[in-house]
Amino acid sequence: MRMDEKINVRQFTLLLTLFTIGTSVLITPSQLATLAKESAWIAASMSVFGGLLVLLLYLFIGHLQPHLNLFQHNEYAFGKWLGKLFTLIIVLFSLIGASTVLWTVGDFVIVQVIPETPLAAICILFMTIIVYGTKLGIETIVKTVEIFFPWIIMLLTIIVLFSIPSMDIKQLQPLWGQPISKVVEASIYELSISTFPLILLFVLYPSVLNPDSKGTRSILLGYLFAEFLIMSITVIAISVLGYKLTSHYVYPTYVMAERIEFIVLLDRLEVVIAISWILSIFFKLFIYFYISLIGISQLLGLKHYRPVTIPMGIIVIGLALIIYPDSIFAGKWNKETWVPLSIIIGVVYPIVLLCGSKIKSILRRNHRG
Amino acid sequence: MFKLSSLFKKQPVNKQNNIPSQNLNASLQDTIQDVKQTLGDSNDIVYRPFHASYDGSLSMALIFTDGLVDKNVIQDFILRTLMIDIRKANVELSSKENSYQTLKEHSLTAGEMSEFNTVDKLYEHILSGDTVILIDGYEKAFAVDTKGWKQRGVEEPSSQTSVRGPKDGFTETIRTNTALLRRKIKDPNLWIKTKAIGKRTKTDVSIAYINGIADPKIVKEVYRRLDKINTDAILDSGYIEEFIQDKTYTPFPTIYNTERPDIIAAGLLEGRVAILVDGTPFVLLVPALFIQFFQASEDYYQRADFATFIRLVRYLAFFLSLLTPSAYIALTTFHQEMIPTDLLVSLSSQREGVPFPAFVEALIMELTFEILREAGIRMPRAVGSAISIVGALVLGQAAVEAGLVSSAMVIVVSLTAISSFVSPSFNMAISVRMLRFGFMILAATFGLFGILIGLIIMILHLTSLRSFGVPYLSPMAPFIPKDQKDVMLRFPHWGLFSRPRLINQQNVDREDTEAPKPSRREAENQSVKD
Amino acid sequence: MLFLLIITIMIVAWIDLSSIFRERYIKEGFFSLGFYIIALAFSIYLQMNGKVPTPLKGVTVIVKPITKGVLSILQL
Repeated sequence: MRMDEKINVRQFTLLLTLFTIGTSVLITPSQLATLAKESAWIAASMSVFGGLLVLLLYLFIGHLQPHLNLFQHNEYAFGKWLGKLFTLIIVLFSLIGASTVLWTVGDFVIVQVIPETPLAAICILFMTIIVYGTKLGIETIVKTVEIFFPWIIMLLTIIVLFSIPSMDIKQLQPLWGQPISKVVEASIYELSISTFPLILLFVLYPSVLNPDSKGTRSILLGYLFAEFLIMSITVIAISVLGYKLTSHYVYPTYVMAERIEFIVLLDRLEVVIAISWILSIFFKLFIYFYISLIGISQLLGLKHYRPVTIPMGIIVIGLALIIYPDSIFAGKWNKETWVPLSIIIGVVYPIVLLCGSKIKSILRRNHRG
Repeated sequence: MFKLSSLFKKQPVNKQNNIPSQNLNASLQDTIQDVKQTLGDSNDIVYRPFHASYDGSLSMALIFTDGLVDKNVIQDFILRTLMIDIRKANVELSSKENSYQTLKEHSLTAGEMSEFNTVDKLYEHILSGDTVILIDGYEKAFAVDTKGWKQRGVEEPSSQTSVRGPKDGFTETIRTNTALLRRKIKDPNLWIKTKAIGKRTKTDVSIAYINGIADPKIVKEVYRRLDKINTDAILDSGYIEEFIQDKTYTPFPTIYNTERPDIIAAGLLEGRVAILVDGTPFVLLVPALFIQFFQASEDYYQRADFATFIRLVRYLAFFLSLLTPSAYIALTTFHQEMIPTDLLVSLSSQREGVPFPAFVEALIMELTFEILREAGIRMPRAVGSAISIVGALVLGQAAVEAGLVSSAMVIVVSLTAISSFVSPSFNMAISVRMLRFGFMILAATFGLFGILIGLIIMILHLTSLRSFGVPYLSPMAPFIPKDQKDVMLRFPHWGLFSRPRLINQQNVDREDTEAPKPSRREAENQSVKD
Repeated sequence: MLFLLIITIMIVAWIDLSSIFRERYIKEGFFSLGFYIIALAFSIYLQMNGKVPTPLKGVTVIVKPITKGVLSILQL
């Protein structure tokens, strides 16, 4: 599997920003409020620093073998069969990610936008455009990102700005009302949704043109921007709704947008957030799906990923329909299993890969010398 | 087994009736006989045998097509020269070797002349309006350019009008069209090359570009694609467009066409390549980008701020004509809670008596309007007023009064229609008209979510398109900051100092004019007055 | 419904596979065919059985002991 499609640093950064925002904007405020209560915003800001460290780790790995993608790096570091095992785990992880995200889209749409529509219909429709986009290739997708990115950010900014009048600072007090362990737990939860899955994006890293030091800086800036957006959405959700209500709703941001009454004409702003969220989740789902396809073609030694796109799309639709029995299960699973799972994939695995790759390089050098 | 693809499979091209490319016969009589036989004794072909020289030893003949030639030219510069002047001048034409040379170099007083020696050339010249001079005993002949037929003069273009700016339009004659371009660009680097395409029509197709500005790769690609065309007829540039476009199955045009020489000249100066086709006033311009279909030539003649405003209105109109009916369907069917209460009340009271769901209502009205529009274009001019009465009164007012459609729907359809006329380019308006129905179906099944899905599909499709290798949505995707000055906005001319990036990569700088400022003295005077 | 599902998948597969094989991607085509068979079987299975247990339970079974182990080590 060759990575012959090229994207530039800016496109990669935009993709990374959207991938970080993705589901987080809509889902994390609720869980953060459940875990850290009124200190949720502290948890969100803490996760920015943790996330930066993690991202630096990923970038470092990316620079170790700049011409190999993550899957090829696996085989380089651990040998053919162990490497393939790691690749398989990543593929399964991204397939789970893809189907949970697809389920989330479907659930959100039938709960909030068009009730009384079968989940399967939404999933099939949404997956169809994902498959279409995947068939067109990553170059087309990143260009689409460039078109949609300003709109997504603009719409989210509108929400943030228009919510400011209804904010109530008292909802954020007391400042340190929660034990530090709870806050840390909440911030790890936030990272598990927004940051740890970013490791998948680094499969694409070899196709990024000139990922030099300037590129690294812009990637970090993009990430900071995304985290800042998540943080401000969390702060606003909690200060507008209060942590009790925020933790009560599955999609608190949407409820918050419903409450905005700024100008008479604009009194149904929740559509705005629905649009921006569906757009950004489109790219998140695409990444999960695309990475799993690349992994599969790497595992099977295919020349291109396109031949397996449609059947895998059908499988993902099927998975999405059964992956969560209901949203209560989803919330529980996200807390109890997704967090450790994404830590394993997003923190433990990169460190193991880093060590493996380093040892391999040293062995090679000695062998040659 | 039946295969769908067999519908599109090419049959081997029928090769009969082709004129073999053999050499001319030396005998004059035989040649004329052959021509008569091949052309089926067609009445409009004129044969004029005569003798030039005193003793009548040199028998010659003219062959030309009546109606395609300027007879005055033939009489004054060919017949008079060969039959009268030559005798006065006492030119020696007796010896066979030098008479041919003498004729060619000293006698014929026509401006453009060529020499040929094959049969297929003979027919090409006769049928394209040249006069062929055959000389007995020679296996060669002359062709004198005597083209001159009734043609439409340069008029104001009918498909793209403007308030300010040049009012000349291309005509059906390729020579006139190239002349119009030359008149605008007096640059030795404006290169125009012509080739004949179409085995039967032998249509002249010219490729024009400015050497040094146009990307050589694109020019080469244009030639490559034109060379690949193997067809028997080219009757309009639309034929060429379909043969050379990047992708067939797309509602969006990837080749620009226009009747206006100023647009073509501006395109050439940006580094694009123009393709002129004989017999049509529509000239093609490649590569064509999405944004190009929203730029009218007038944008550059009006003030920059006004042009920017109008351009933003155009983009708004694009989305209005694309999405208004589908948004109406989605809102009234799925998202009534999003409509302000007062409006909802009046809407639902209007829709009370209407027997159809919103989608069917919208579909009926939109289809009716499309039929009206098509009728308006194709009908004889004389019945125009009848159509407008039927359209406005019967289908609009009466349908509402009869309770078949709600008046809100009529407003929606009118808004859509008017918005679709805003587009400065007819092609883009057509694609929007088609896509609108897709969006209506999506809105009827999935509401606003469906519309959003439709938009994502549309943008995905648009970003995947290319026009002669240039991404269709550039400079928005891939985003090129330098080129944003002529996309949504139109910078003043002194600000448009560089040419679009992806179209030409070798010669980017356009100009170096400073922004106009009052000179220092004026400024001082101003401050004194204040 | 089941019939419609099978027909749809088969038609999609037919069009997709024929284009893959036409481009001489033989190995890819066979793997694609394999995935189509899996997808078809999977969707028939989903359509026949009303309640299918989520595969995530399996993930939980694997991940949980690891988490517990790590947590107990951390507490030590």
